[in-house]
Amino acid sequence: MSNKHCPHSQINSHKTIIKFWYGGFVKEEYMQKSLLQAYDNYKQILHDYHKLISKVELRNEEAERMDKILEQAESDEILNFLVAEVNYIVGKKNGLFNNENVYEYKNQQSYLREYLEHIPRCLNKHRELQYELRIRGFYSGPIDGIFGQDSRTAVKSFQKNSNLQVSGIVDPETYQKLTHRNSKSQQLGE
Amino acid sequence: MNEESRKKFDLAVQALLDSDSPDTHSLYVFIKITLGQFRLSKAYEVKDIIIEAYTRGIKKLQSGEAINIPLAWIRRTAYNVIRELRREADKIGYLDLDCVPVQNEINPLSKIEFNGDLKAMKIAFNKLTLEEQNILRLRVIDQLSWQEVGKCLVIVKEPVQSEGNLRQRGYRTLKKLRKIYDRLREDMPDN
Repeated sequence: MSNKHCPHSQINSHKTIIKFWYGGFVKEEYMQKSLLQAYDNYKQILHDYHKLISKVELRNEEAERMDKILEQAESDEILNFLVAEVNYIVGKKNGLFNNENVYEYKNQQSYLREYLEHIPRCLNKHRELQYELRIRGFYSGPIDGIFGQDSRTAVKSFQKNSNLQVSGIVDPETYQKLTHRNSKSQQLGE
Repeated sequence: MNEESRKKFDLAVQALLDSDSPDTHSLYVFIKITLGQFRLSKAYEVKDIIIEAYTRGIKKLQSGEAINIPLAWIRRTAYNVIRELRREADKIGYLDLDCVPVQNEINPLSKIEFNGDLKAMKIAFNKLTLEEQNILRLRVIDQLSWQEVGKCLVIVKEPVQSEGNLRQRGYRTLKKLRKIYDRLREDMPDN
């Protein structure tokens, strides 16, 4: 019977149970109990989640309850795991893992991959736009390259002020107007 | 920015791009169902919601806040993004009236159905080998990273494995667990 301890028992005091993991005398019993007990310990909340995720529409109070469960899962790894498994089971029952859907997920993944690979370049471009909006007095947020609601609102204000179509989207015309100052300044040697 | 939190977040987002990841499948299904529940399936796709959640995640990390369990955080943020989009859509009276619900309405026997699912989950877990149960337990209960899981396995004389191999092993275990559920639910009457 081995009494070796996993070195990671030292990493985090709340993981003390790992100390016993490789002590053969508790090995099987502990490991089987731990997750199995979780299914029972979380039975009520899982039932609520199962009921909510299976509904066609959520009323306000149901949407709030769902949010509370998801919030709890943000700090509870076991609940996070169990919620993911319930999603799988409910998805499977409703045909969301059929070939057509799996093909669609793969397409969406490809798009996401492409998008995330472009992010570093996009961030630089967005920083430049935020900077231009800021020096013109339309934007007061951080120059972080994240083009969120504040940046889009600033673009709308700029477009309105410049007699452009107000969309919040930096189209070629908006981009040219926004970056015009730079090229003019460079020409003037400023 | 909390570097460790950012690294964990980036790893979770990278895993969402892995078509083998069972976590990805669960998240996609969750977002798809939620879009249906808020009648926005025709207006938005899963990727739109993930991109918005990702953007918010980066902002949160840049402001110095931490994200403890990235997947759970992305799931909840995605859910709330959809709720916000619904509120926006309500302002202009948009409704996917012809949107086909992605799942059937809950049936009056939902408790029985849930009990059947829970039973299947427990039986399926018991049908995993001890080694497979260890992997899940180390990840879920003990919340170890794949690197830490690898170090623990070396102690019980398993060969040294790369993080990628361990992750794949974790994926295989989850897939096996789900295959067992599927078989059990096909055979198991709800009562």
